[in-house]
Amino acid sequence: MEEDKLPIADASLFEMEEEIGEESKEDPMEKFRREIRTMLYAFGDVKNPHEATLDLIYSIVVEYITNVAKIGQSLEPRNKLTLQAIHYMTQHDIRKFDRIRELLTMNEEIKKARKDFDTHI
Amino acid sequence: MNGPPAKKAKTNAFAAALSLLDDPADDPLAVSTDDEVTQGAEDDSILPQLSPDIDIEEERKEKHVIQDGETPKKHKVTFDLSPEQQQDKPGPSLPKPKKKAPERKEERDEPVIEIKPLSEEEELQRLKTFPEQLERYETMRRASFPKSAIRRLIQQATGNTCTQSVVIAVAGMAKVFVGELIEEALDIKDSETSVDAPLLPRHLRLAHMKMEEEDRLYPARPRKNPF
Repeated sequence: MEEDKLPIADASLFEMEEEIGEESKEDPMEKFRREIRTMLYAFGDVKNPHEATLDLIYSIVVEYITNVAKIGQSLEPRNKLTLQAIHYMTQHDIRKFDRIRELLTMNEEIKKARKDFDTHI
Repeated sequence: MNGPPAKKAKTNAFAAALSLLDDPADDPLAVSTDDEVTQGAEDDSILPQLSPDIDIEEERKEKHVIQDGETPKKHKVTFDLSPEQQQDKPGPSLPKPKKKAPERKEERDEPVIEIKPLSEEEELQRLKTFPEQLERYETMRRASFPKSAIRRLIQQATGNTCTQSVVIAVAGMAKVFVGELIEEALDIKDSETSVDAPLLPRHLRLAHMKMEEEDRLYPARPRKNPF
């Protein structure tokens, strides 16, 4: 049955599992890197940025998110990163604060719109 | 605008000097005929003398920061951070050096610059004249970090799961951070090499250091004591 589905002729079930396993481990980070490449172009770089630049931004951003999570976690009891912690941290950075507020508001609106859509149809 | 009458005496000489730069064909009192430029009625009582040079410096700096290539055409400058601009602050900075020269001259020709909030349609109209910028803008709006990756990173850092709102918030924060970083790096790059050169890791490192010195890097770090 697997042979019918797989384009490769003699891939065993074990191999298929491995492939899927690798995909789920690699893929979020691969997507991440792709998005960073997109952002480089979006914010003003040339269409094909250097790989080294990409790698550097990747490590900087990963470090940034990790640090934000750790700092935010240390602010709240019981080791959880909460929205309130993020609020406290970004109080003074207007851009981030506004952007987060806008994103969450939009999210609420979209959820509400979806719910209305579902209940009416 | 700070009081032009108060500073007029000081800037009269300056204005006279600047007026030498004026295009002789231009009438300093004429309203610009660009459709996109006139965003409101011209006040006829405003003298053709230029507004204070200090204001012009500030305006130029503000323009430099805010409009960043999104408004490449010569036009009356508006400085209010409209909600639309606040969203798009990390705008592409590529055409900035080319467009600044005509903009500056236009500024000096105009008597007083009215502040008006930009509307989204005007922004899009302006962008339509520059398809490359439109492409960049579209890419910027669409780009967003994958929530799965962010959730994974947070879990690795804290050891705990987090709500979906937190993931959304952190994703947005990271994007703004990346935007700020790339903008700084592009500024550094523009001051050193050509506009069309690709971004190098060196620029990024310099930008990172600069942001760290200015305390813009991590949100909750205790602020540097100014004393």
